[in-house]
Amino acid sequence: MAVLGATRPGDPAGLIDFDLTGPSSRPNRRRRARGAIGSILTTPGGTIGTVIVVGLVVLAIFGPELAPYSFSAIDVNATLQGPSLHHLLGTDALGRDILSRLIFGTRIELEVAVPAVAAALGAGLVLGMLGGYLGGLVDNVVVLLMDTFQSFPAIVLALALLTVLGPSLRNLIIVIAVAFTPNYARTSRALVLSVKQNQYILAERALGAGRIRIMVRHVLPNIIAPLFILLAMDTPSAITTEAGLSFLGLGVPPPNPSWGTILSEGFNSIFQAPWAVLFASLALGIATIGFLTFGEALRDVLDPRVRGVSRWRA
Amino acid sequence: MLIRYIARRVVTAFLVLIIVTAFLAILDRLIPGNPVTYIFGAHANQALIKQVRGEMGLDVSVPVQIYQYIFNALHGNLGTDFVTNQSVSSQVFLNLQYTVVLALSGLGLAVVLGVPLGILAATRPGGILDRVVGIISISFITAPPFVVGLLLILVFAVHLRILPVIGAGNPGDPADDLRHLILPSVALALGWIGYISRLVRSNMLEVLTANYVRTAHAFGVRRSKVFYKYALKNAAAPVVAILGVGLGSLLGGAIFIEVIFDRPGLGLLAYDAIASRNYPIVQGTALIIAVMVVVANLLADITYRLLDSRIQLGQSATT
Amino acid sequence: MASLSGRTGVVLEIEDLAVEYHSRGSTMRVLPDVNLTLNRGEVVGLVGESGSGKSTLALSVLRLLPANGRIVGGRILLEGSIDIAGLSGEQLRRLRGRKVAMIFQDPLTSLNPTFRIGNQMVDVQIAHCAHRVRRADRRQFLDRAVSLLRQVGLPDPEQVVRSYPHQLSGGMRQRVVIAMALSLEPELLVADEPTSALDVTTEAQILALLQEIRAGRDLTILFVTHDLSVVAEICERVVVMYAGHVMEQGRVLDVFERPQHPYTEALLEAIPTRAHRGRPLASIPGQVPSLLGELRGCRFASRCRYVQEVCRVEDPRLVASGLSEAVRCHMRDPASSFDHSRAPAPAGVVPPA
Repeated sequence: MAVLGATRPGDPAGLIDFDLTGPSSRPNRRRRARGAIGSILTTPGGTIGTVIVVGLVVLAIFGPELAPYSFSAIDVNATLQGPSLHHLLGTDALGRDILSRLIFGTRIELEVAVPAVAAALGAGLVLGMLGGYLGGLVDNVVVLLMDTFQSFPAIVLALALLTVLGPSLRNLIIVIAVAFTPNYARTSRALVLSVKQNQYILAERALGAGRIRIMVRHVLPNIIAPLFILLAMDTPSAITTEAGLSFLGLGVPPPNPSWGTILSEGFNSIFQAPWAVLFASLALGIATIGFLTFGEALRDVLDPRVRGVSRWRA
Repeated sequence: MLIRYIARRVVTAFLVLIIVTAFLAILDRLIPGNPVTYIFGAHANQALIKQVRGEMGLDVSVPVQIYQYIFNALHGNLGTDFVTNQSVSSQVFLNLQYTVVLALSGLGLAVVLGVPLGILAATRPGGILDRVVGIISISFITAPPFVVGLLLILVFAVHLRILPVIGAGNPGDPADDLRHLILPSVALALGWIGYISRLVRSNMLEVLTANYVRTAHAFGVRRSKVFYKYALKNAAAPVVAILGVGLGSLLGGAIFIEVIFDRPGLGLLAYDAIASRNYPIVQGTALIIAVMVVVANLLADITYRLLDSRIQLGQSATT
Repeated sequence: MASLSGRTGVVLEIEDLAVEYHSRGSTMRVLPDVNLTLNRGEVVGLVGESGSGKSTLALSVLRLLPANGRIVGGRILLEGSIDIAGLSGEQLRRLRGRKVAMIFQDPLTSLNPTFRIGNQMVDVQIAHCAHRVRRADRRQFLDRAVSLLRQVGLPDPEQVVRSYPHQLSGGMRQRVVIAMALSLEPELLVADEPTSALDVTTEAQILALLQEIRAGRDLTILFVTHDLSVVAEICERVVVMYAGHVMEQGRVLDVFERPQHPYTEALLEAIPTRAHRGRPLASIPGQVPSLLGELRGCRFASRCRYVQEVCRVEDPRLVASGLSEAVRCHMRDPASSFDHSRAPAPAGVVPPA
């Protein structure tokens, strides 16, 4: 379950525990959701998380307009400078403004991470539901496949796939999605198994509802919430994974300023000017904390019956 | 009961390894276009292409290729690489020891530092110490190893200049090896130090509410003994289970660490191979790592079951 | 009742004990002020339904309340001289198991699953060993453990000592716990529903064991239970609790034959006997009142069949009445403003079989 370089190891110990005990009807869910957004903002953690996440999204979308310089604007007279009025976070070895590169990088990170995790959720959800609900041979096959993919540390899997496919934005998304899918498959399978026992499922079956219909209309709405929480909390892992791959030179090709690329280039000049490394690390840290707090707050709101210790209530 | 479980797990692990190997064996077939053409260019000699395809095993059907690869692998032959034409297995096994040392020391560090931290936090839950340890743990968890590695280099090598950052030290000089090992293992282990500490804390708090702890107090057993002997043993079991996953995670992170710190090892080997699309090396490396992860998970799982069976049986048995 | 040794006197005196539970900003006063006296050699039953405070009272004796519970008033006097409520941590530790031993409801979870029985029993003795423990001491402790296990009726004590808890049956586990409790030869044994988790046959065996043990030692037992038939079988005196208050107390034979308090009366009526055959089971309608905030009046008022206005307003005093030592009821208090003309005398209730 480990992910490339990221140290949120998918929570293999189950410190996050999803407890489903009852059906949720649709109108209630919508009402609950609106209240949920309000409730998130009541906790300090939730507010910080939301602010950061929203900020990152804004940067990703409007970054190019907001950034003071273009990410590829080379200025040989201003190389490896520290923070100054002209360049708030300094410049890199080619004189490019670090702040602008980081801002542009936000878009790349989210462009890769979000679709990748979403795809993993989709694929994992389908696999998990098929395995969990249908059981038997299908389940065994699904579990075996997921075990197989999880026995590679994600980076090794990524390396193998990228060697074969070649580095590109599209392939990055595919690789990361493949690496994360087993986690979602496993979780949704477990959720399906717990929901399957519920009475209303049996009632539906007694009424002769087809399996697909049951899966989509009844099982799915009830297991989707925890998966979205997982999505929020996996996004930073995906971002870090992408950064890691880019760091190794397997990500988006230069001069695209993935945070990993910035780190890698910064590493080359770490002894003279550590700014790139520092600020890129800071960016990663902020993004991680933002999404994690947001996800935690989301979880506390949507699933107050979560057992176990909340990591943020230190 | 337990034997059956172990047998089942072993069979599953075995199956997983077979699929993994098969997957790796045919992965290079996914290469869009002709890999040989990629190497030699589009206008290469047809006969040469055919010969190389034969060597690469691409001229046979998928099942046969899988079979050949597995057969060879079991005999220690992982093929030859594209670039230097040397045995893949020899290169892999040469570098294996460095990576294993790194991963194990990272794991050891994570346990040695993480467990006491978790215990510390559990002694007075909600107190200042608990909060401080909590914040430290969480910051460790959220920091990716390669970033930590970079930052460590920044602090120790650039500013303080006290620890080496390049390579694995002079062979034959264990003290030097050790010095070279410090920063890389710390960078690797940091995240897991945080995670294990949270896990231990959480388990300890849960165990401390158990009835048998109350019984021990009721009979006047000393507080410290209850804490360290009674509670700890029960809280430790899940940590063992985690270690299997931990090893996998650490092996993955090791790749970055080796690149950053320029240490020899599987990571560096694979990294160099990717640049030249030298697939057999990547294939061999991935296989060895997968084998290690599967075995580690298997052992950890079985050990956990052994420890846990007593707890489970105790709790679920009826009068 | 004098004990085996002929020593008389009060072993435990609980004076005006007040216990509160805190949770999320609110405070629940589970025990407002409880008074209880245990004489040497007695077996006293503490009865009540869930929420009556009987377990809280039992736990308070050794100050084993959960983290959110606190003793906020009163004294717990052991042998007239030691106030358990005021002891320091170390003094308390030395007292636990040694002077007063406690056994709990669930033998399953009372024992540590990852240690052998022998290990746990030796640990108890080690904890109270005044000097540094040597190898020879451990050997001795283990032998003592084996002998105790034999005394509680376990057929193969050497095997038991080497076993883990999950390898024993529930009845065996409870015997182990009892043996552990006896290992330091305490004066008082507090048993918190020790047979509630056992099947009827095993329960009978454990009860017989307790009686046998008591006969051979100078032991006072405080037996907490919700089961009146168990009280009838093993206890000499009974204390009936409801919502944190002692409602009635007295000798078992007296209280069961002529219950003075409406609650006791209702409890006894609720026990199905052959005389009830063919009729619906009697139960006490209503629920235990919430203990949050201040309560006025008698706590049983909402469910009492004899309730009058005064009951809802004024808290009744504890007075002697009939054959019972103490009853907390306006109906039995000649000095209260209860209209006694409207109250029937309690009928003689068929004692439980």
